Parts: sequence; C-alpha cells; structure tokens
Amino acid sequence: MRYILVVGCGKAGKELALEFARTENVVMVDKDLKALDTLGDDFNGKKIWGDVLDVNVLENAGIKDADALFLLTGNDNLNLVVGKVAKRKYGVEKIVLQVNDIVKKRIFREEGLTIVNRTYLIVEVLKKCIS
Amino acid sequence: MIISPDRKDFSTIFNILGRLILGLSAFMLIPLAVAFLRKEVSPFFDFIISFLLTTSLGFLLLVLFPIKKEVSWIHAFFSVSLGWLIFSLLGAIPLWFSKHFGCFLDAWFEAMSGFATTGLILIQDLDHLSFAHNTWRHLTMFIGGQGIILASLSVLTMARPVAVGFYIGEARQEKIMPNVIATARFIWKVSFVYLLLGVGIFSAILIQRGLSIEKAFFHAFWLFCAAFDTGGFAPQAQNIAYYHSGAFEAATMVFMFLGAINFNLHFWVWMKRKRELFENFEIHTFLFTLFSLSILTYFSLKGLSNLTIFRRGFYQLVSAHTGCGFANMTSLDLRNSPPVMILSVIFAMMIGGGVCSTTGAIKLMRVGIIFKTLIMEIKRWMMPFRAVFRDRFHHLQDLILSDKRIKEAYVFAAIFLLTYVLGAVIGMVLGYPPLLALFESVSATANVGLSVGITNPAMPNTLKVIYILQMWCGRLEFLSVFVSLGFIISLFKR
Amino acid sequence: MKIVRIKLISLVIFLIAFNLGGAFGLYAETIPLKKIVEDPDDFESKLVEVEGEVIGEPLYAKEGAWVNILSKGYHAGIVVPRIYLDKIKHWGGYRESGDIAKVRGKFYKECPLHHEMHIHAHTLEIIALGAPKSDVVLPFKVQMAVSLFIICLIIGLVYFIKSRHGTRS
Repeated sequence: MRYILVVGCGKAGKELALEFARTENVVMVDKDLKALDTLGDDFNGKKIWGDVLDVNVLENAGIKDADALFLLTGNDNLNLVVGKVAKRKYGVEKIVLQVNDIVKKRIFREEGLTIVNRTYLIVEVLKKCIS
Repeated sequence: MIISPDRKDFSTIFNILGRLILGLSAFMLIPLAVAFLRKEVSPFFDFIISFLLTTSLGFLLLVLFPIKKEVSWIHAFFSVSLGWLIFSLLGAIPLWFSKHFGCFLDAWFEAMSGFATTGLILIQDLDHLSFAHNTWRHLTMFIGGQGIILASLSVLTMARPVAVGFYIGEARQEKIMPNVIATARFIWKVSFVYLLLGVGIFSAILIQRGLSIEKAFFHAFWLFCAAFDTGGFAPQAQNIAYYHSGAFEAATMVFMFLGAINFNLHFWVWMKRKRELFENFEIHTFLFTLFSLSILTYFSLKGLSNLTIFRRGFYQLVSAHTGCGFANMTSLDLRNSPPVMILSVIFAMMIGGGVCSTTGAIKLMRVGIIFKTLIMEIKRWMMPFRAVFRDRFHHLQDLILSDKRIKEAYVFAAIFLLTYVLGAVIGMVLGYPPLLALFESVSATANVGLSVGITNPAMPNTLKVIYILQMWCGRLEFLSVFVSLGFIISLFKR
Repeated sequence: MKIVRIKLISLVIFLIAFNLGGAFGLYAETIPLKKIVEDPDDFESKLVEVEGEVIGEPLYAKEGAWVNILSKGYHAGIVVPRIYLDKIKHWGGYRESGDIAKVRGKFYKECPLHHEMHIHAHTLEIIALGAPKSDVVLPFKVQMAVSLFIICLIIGLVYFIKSRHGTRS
C-alpha cells in the first residue's frame, strides 16, 4: 500500500483523495478546515489542518514516508516551492503539481516533478473527442 | 443532522451482521479441528452444530437482507454494538452444550466475558473441560481483542468507509496508518509476531516444567490469547496459581504489558523512533500510577517477604492495571487481603491501559490528561497574574492540551465512574458488602476479570445480567451503544 | 484380676502412645480443603491431612513436583517428593477422572521457600483410583448436526444462486 500526500482539498483534490483512499494510505493537507470537512467524517485516510509551508506540518503529514505527493493548492508558486522542497530535502519519488500558468510550466519542467495544467488537459481531451 | 432510519437502513445493517456472523463461524472451525485431533467426540459434535447454526444464520441474513443503502458509519456503529451481543449469544452455544454451565445465562455470561476480554467466569469444573471447549473460550478473547481484523476481513467486498466506522465504533479512535485497512493489517502482523514469541516462550517454560509438548503448546497458545488480549481466562480453575511458578508469572507479565500498550506506540517503536517509548505521555502516566499504587500495595503487605509481595501484591496489581485479570491467588484470598491492597487494585482497574490497545477502562491517555489539567488549573489559581498559557504533551508528536481533549477526557471518565458506582450500588442492594461490590463492578466494566468471589454460579441472575451489560458497554466504550440507542429512539419518534 | 490389669495397662500404654504420637505429629482426621482455604491462618505451619482428586499434570520443581488437587470445588497446590509421583496413575482432565490422593504434610500460608500458599507433602497415598470418563455423543446432537447440515446447505445454495443471479441481471 502506497503512502500518498495530497495538498489542497479543492474539487480535484477531494475526488483524488477519496479515490485513492480506497486502496492506499492517503493524507490530505489543507489550511481551510471547511475544505477538509468536505471529505466527510468517515474519510479512510488522515486529515491535517495546517499550512503546508510549515515544515512541521509537512513532517507531521509523513512526507518522509511519502511515495507520491500531489500539489493542488491553486497557488502555482506555492505548489512549485513545496514541490522542490519535497524533491530536494525529502527525496519524494513522484511529485505531481497542478500549475495554472502555462508559462511557468515550461520554466519548471524538471526531472521528477510532473506538471499538470488544467487548460492543456482539457484541450487534449477535446482534441481526442473528434479524432 | 437528523438520523431517520428506515427499512433500507435496517436491511443494510443486518447484511453487515450476516457477514460478521460468517466470519465468526469460520473461527469455530478451529476448536472443531482441535476436537478432531484430540479425539474428543462429544465436543466435536458441539462445534459442528454451532458452526452449522452460525453459518446458516449468516447466510440467512445475507439472503433476506440485501444492501439497500450505501454503507455509512451509522450502519457500522449499530452493527458493532449489535454484533457484540449476537456474537456472545452464538459463542455461548458450544459452551452451553459442554454441560459445564448451570444455565444458558451462565454460558452467555462466559461468552460475553470472552469477547469483551474481561475474564470473569461462571464455568463449573473447569479442570475437566475438553481441549476443544477450552480452545474456544480462549479464542473468544482473541476475536474480541483483535476485533477490527475480523470485521475488515469479513467486509472485504464492501465499501471501505464501513471499516472506518467499525474502527471508531469499536472505540479505537487513533488510526495507526491513514488507511484503516493498512492499520488492520499492521495490528494483525504485530499480533502474529507476538503470538509466535509468546507461544514459544510459554511452551518452553512449560516443557521445562514437565508438560508434554502437545499440552505445553495448547496451554501456551491459550495463555497467550488471554495475556496479550488482556483477557484473563486460563485453562484451569486455579488460573495462574495452577502453574506455581514465579518465572512463568513474570513471563505472563511481559505479554500483559505488551497487550496494554497503545498499538500506535508499537508501530512507532518498531518502525520509527525507539525513543518514543521513553517520551510517550501514556507511558509516563502508566509509570506514575503503577509506581504509586505499588508503594501503597507494598506497605499494605508489610510483614511478608519481598518475593511474596512481588508475587501476590505486584502481580495482581499489574494484572489489574493492564486489564488482564490473571490471578495467582484465589478470590477468597484476594477478598481477605488488606483493604489498602484491595483499594489499590480497584484504582488500577479503574485506570486501565493505553488507548487503542486491547485493554478497557478509562485508559491512560485520558487519566493523564485529567491529572495534567488538574495540576495546570491549580497552578493557574496560585499565579493569577500569569498570562494564559496552553500546555503541551508528547504523544508520538507534540500535541496541544486543547479544551476539546480535556472535555472528552473528563466526560469519558465521568461515564465510566458512574457505571462503576452504579454497578456497585446494585451489588450492595443485592446484599454484598460495599468494597467488594465496587471491586466486582469495576472489574466487569473495565473488562479486567479479577474477582473477589461475587461472580459465581450461585449469584443472583439479575447481577449476572447487569455484569453482562457492564462488560458489553465497557468494551465498546459506551459510544456505539449510545449512538445505537439514539438510532432506535429516533425510530420510535417517527 | 490379671486380665483386668492387663487390659488396664494396655489402655494406659495405648493412651500414652496416642499422646506421644500427637507430640511426634500424628495426624487427626482428614481436614476438608474448604476449611483450610477459608481460614489459612488457623493452619499456618501445622500438620494437616487432606484428600482430593489429582488434576492436570505434575509440574516439576526444585525438589519434588507440584500436584494440584481438587476437593468439592476447592483446590490446593502440593509439593510432592518425586518418589510418590509414580503412585499417581490417573490425572483428572477431560478423558478421565483423577486418582483420589490422601496427603499428609505441613501447610504453609506463606512458604519461606516457595512464597505461596500450599502444602509440603510428607506422605501421599492413593485411596481411590480414577477412571476414564464417558465421551459419548447424545443422539439428539447427531440428529441436530445432520438436520443443520442440510439446512445450511440449502440456505448456502440459495445465497450463491441469488448472488449469481444478481451479477447476471
């Protein structure tokens, strides 16, 4: 069973966490308590209420044991900073970031950091619809 | 959120129960195998009948009650509370057939005592009981102690959220790993390792004392289940006194401690930091309470040799504090002990072991919080001009002593204390002396199992039922019971 | 007169012997275990004679072995010199009832050597033999087993058919 950290309990984050929680160890970090509550009382994973920029919160969430990290906070810079820290300091194997600004995507295409862009994704899916 | 149950909810609940019951019937195959191996004919049939009856009931429930609604935690809570009652009734059937009980109520008492890992006994002529039946008695403690594994294994094909509900419904509020299934697997692995260790050590000692390998193995297995699951059943009527061995008693103490420690702590010490064992809040609380109660016990038994005080006083104290219930003295002996020693044992029973362990009672975390808060408040009164400060404590991580935690600790303690006293009062009303009635009531509610002699086949049936209820509520820590009651009440309100 | 004198002398000798015997530790009648267990202080370091069914198995100690006996619901642990162990042929358990042993020895509420309440046996004799216990199934159990087997099979089949049917539709 893998240990997956998800940062940001937005729409995508919540669905991802719920999906993974069925078969993996999932830890969700968000600094908004209401967002965490949307996961429900019987969420089969761990909820951490805190600011992911705080190293203590990261370590509490078990970043040292994480097999994968998803950064979906909605704030590109935050995602990128935390992603790099996770890679350099904690050596997390798989790191996936959601980046909104396509320009940044090109700048930060680094090894070990997978960048996902919503607009680009939708474009790809739409293209396939009529291919 | 208004809970308004309907037919679909009940269908789902009974479906879950059906699966749990099938899980239970699988365990019945073990004593069946023992009866076969030891050529115990009548017990063999006892267990065939019980196995078939339980399996039929399980399948029947699954057939009649399909899952109509998406399984949620409320279903889980209800099935946990009901499940424990039904398990004890079904588990009583093979015991009743053994003819070692005065009436079915006694057999039900024994089964509930087993599943609730209590250890109070009503069985008669235990020394002549078959190996198969004895295996079943001790197995009930194993099942009750490691309940979550059974539950998550039987609901393999169902939605995962249920497992979480089970876990909390069973009063284990701390998840070791984020995923409950992973937690269950870990508990299983750890228990298995300790099982091998325990059976190995116990059988080694017994073989050295002259038991045959086969007998030593059985005794070792039975006693491991009783020690690690802090139950307290033993294969002979004299309990641990049968073995007449200080060394053996020391070995059982090791496993009593292991079973009474928070499973989370086991995880951290094994996988992460060994030092956590020395910094942990619950361990500190435990050392404090055990030490102070030991001093009390020592002085109450002054006049006896040190080794005797260790074997009589300290052993009973550890047995009480870990919620196990092993005794190396008769209940009569215990009853005639100095009152200060009896009181120390009562206090130890009231406190219990770690949260998220196989123990019962108020538990160390809460007791520790209660003490710490008390000291904090008194400090505050002494220094009124000091700024408001928040205290911290270390349990795996540094945690804040929040008002929520304090409130929870005090409320739980209050409910337990109330139950302790209520049971004592009922005992007194039925004619028993106050200290003894309190002892027995605490022993039942805290799922310890030490007895001063009140629990015996001749005791009033009312008291038997009261203790059964106390054992049941204590094991589930009241939460599931209250939630279920609320569920039933809202049913009638419609 | 001579006969009367002889009888009188024998009576006196008998009485002296009886009392001397008491001084050397002759035992009175068998004390029920219940009495000893309930009032251990009365019997501390005294010579006692008890009897009961031998149960379980011997557990070897430094000198001798531990034998547990059961009498009317009360138990006692007894340290028995090894030479006497061979006398015990039947040990009480599920298969057989144990030999009834009569033990004479010293009772300790708190033994300085073993640190527990028990009896140090001086002599042990078997006064009644144990016997195998019956392990016969009552016919109604066999009937129940068979009928339940059929019932279980039926319900099980119904369940599997239903679940199959469910996945197909």
